[in-house]
Amino acid sequence: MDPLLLARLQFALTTSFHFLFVTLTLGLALLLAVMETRYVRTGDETYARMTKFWGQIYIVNYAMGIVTGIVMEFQFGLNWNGLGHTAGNVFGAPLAMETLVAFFAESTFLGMWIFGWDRLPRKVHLTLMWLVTLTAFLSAYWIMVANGWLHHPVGYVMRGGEAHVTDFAKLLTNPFTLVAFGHIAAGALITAGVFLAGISGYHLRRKKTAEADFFRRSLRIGVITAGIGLLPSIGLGVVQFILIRYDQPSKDAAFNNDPAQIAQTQAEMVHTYGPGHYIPPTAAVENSGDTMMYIWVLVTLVVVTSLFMLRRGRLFRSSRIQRVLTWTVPLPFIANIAGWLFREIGRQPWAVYGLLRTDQASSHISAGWVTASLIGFVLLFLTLATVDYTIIARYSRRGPDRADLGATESDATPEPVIAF
Amino acid sequence: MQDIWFAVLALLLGGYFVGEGYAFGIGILLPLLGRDDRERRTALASLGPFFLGNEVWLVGAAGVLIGVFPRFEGLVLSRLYPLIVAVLLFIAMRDMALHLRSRRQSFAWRSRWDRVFTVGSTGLAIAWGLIVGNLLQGVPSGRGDLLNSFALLCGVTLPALFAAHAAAFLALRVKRPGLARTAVVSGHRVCVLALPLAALAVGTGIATDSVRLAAPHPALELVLGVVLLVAAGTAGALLGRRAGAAFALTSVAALLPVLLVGAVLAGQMRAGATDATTLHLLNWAALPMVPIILAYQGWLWTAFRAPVDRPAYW
Repeated sequence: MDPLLLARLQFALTTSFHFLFVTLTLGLALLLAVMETRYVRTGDETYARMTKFWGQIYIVNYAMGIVTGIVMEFQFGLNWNGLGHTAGNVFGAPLAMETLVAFFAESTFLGMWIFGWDRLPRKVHLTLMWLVTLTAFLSAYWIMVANGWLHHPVGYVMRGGEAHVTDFAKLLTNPFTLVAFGHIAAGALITAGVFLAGISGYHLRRKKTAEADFFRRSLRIGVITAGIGLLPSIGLGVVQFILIRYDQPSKDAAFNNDPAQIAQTQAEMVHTYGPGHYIPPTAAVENSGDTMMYIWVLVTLVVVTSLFMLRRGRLFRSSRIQRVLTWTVPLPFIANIAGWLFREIGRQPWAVYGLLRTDQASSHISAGWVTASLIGFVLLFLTLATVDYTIIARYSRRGPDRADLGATESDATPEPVIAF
Repeated sequence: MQDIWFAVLALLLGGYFVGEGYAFGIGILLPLLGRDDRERRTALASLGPFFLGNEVWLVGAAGVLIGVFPRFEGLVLSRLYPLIVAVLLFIAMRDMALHLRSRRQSFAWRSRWDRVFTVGSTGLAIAWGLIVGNLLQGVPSGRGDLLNSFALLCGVTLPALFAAHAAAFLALRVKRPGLARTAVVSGHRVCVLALPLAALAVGTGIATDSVRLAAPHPALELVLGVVLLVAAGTAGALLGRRAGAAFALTSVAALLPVLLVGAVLAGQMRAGATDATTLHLLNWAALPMVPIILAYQGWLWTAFRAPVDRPAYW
């Protein structure tokens, strides 16, 4: 197979795996900070248990986000060193900022938060969770500075075949960065909100649950959070369509899949950039964009209905809507991936729109090595993600008493049993 | 101004080798540690919050490489392709093994993930050893053999050094008599292996043309190699009696491979650095983060300095 295609597939799959986990991480982090704040303010133990239960799920989810993220960071140098060669002066800086300003702190503080229950003062522990949340969003912002520049290069000049920064402020305020960041943050709220609501609904549906109060509060937080995300999500989505129309005409043409527009855009781009094929694969762009939007409509129907039923507590009594919420949990994840594919596939054949084609960005590694690493990463990620989701499902099903986070261990804690 | 970033990169990679070095070592020694699950989990609890706090040093180093030395980064990573891919695969295995192993009560589940943890940690230590061994001969040409004999020798020496490092770490951090004793005993055994290997690696380095010719200032590299040997040897002698001093010395031994590689590659890295504008930008925006990072990492260390005597989360 073509090593370029394999390297692209490898990056797409790694990013998709990464995105699957980090959107939930982003949204849940904020909710954990809110729950823990309520606990520290009111002293209500239920909020402490909520923080530990949802926090346990958060950590198991976070782990996969880290390992896929590390693989992604290294793939730039492994498979795409043409990008560093031509655009390294511009593209590398936001990635360096992301690691040194944001992720370094996020991971260190999260470690302290996991192991700091009952060891650090409550307010310090709470501050750690807010720092984790803040740095998580900051991290997403810097990544979007790098990614936004790939979509819409600004604030640079080409000299001697290399891009050089002329105006860093333009990079930081690139509309392809800011709008997409807001859109993703809104998506993260919807993802985490529906996640909370769906799992809470699962427990409330089983009438016997002793944790009715616990899951009612979680359900309320979940649907309200998702509700908050809905309008910014669609609004900033629409703004991006307008941006695309002006600055990424080939993505716009592929999405509209209108032969006349495609032919005209292709002709204009040949005129500007020389001979070549400049239209991204129409079916992939159109289908992934549509999938994202149809899911938004479905999720909005469910969440808005739930919000109405919140009045006079009908949401807590109707097992029908609770079941629907549980079945809605996977949808935002699918929409996140679809939206990501729409954005990235729609940029093709460019690595940096109008500046560097994907084939020019490639490292030209032999097909054998790229195939081997592709198979290795995909098999490993599939296995690990499956096990990770199994554990998340298990914690979700077993309820707040069985979380390991913040549990005190003593020599009386039972040893594991021999079971297969 | 690149020189200060060169120092930051050495600091970050050095921090990674020292901090993750003992995590790799605990993974390598894990089959020997702990008579029961509680003891084994206590050994893992010694990693506690440091596990998450240590791995980010690599992420930070990669960020500096791509931001400050973008062309060098692309060159060196693509030339080391299979070894970097191996590092990434082993990182994923090992991290997830630690995250997942205590998430179920089943004995079979836990021993399975312990094996993954050991394989991942050992694989990581070997892969880093191979990378160090290759880089000490300069940036690979892309045509040559990544599994040359000097690289292979480094590939077995580094895991042995990391295991000794982990033994000193456990002796210092664990307050459970049986486990601490096991750590010292296995540490002594590992040193019997690590010292001759390290000596052989230094000797082979001196005798091998590709290593000698790659060294821009051979006297410095030789001194660094000798310091590594002396540090590891003294650490082995102190292990049973003065755990703190032994750990400090194994930390020096774990740091030295990074300094050696830095000494060899400094010139090439300068050539692959970013332009003056971006450098100025990062000096202003990212460099002030370095003391802040050191401050909160210092907080992490003081807040969790108490020795561990029981399992915690991992």
